[in-house]
Amino acid sequence: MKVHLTVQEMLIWHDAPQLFVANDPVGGLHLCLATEIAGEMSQFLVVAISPGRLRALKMGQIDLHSVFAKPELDTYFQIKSFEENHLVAETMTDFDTPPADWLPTPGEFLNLPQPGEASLLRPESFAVVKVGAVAKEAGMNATLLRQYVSGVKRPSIEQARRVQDALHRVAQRLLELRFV
Amino acid sequence: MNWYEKLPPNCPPREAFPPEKAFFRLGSVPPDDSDFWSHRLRFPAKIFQVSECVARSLSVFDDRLAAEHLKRLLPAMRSKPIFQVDLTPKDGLIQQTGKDLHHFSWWRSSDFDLKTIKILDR
Repeated sequence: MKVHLTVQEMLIWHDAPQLFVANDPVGGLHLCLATEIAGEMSQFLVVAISPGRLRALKMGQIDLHSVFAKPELDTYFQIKSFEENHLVAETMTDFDTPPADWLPTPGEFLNLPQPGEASLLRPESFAVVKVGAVAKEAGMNATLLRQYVSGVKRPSIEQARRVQDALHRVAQRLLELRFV
Repeated sequence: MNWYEKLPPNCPPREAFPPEKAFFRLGSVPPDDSDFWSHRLRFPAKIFQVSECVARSLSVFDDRLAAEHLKRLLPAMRSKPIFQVDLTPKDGLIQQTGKDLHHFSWWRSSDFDLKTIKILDR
């Protein structure tokens, strides 16, 4: 069976995609894990994953090994090719359980920032606005905000909230614009 | 700055900054220059799901434990040794990218000297 997947969220990038979430055409979620990064086409092991299990994985409540060793649906896919902007995954029929060297080490969890953890002043959040303008709105030094965005410094929760509120105020003013 | 490879316009981004500390990178043994090539340079036709600027950067960590964690977590990284690279401003620009706050993209300058790397494990 062939499934067309669209990348939804990159969870781990390290020189190349290592772990990402992809959608199938009816909105089903799939987790894609690189098992070999070599050549123009890396090898990815793919399993379907429910929103609840994905949330548990991202919250560090379930390890990555369990997601791939015990998938919710007993089906494994492998990404075989790209067609236009889609990944093409095909069912793997040659094993019930993937080889051990394709699986993450048991007991290892994703290291993602948790809600409430101040840190992610993501560069893409500032793509359509000038950092200097947001800094002015937040009453903050523009150099300091650039350091937060680049990762050279990490803001406290209070500082992150200050920037967030400033971005929201700018966005609200943009929403109120009417030209026609 | 002279970049080691051709970069797209507006790359590195304005927020990137000069490094001045030890970073950690997964490579191969024996290390060679291609361990410090971006994936775009290695695989010109490959399709990536990130910006072209990031595709032309090198992944480094600002913390050794984060590199060790990645080795355990990802099967494709398991056999790779960890290199320590003591980056200085002449070596290029870096910026935190990705969801792991210890992960940085490094745009390598032509001045980076491969002889300065230290292999921490194999």
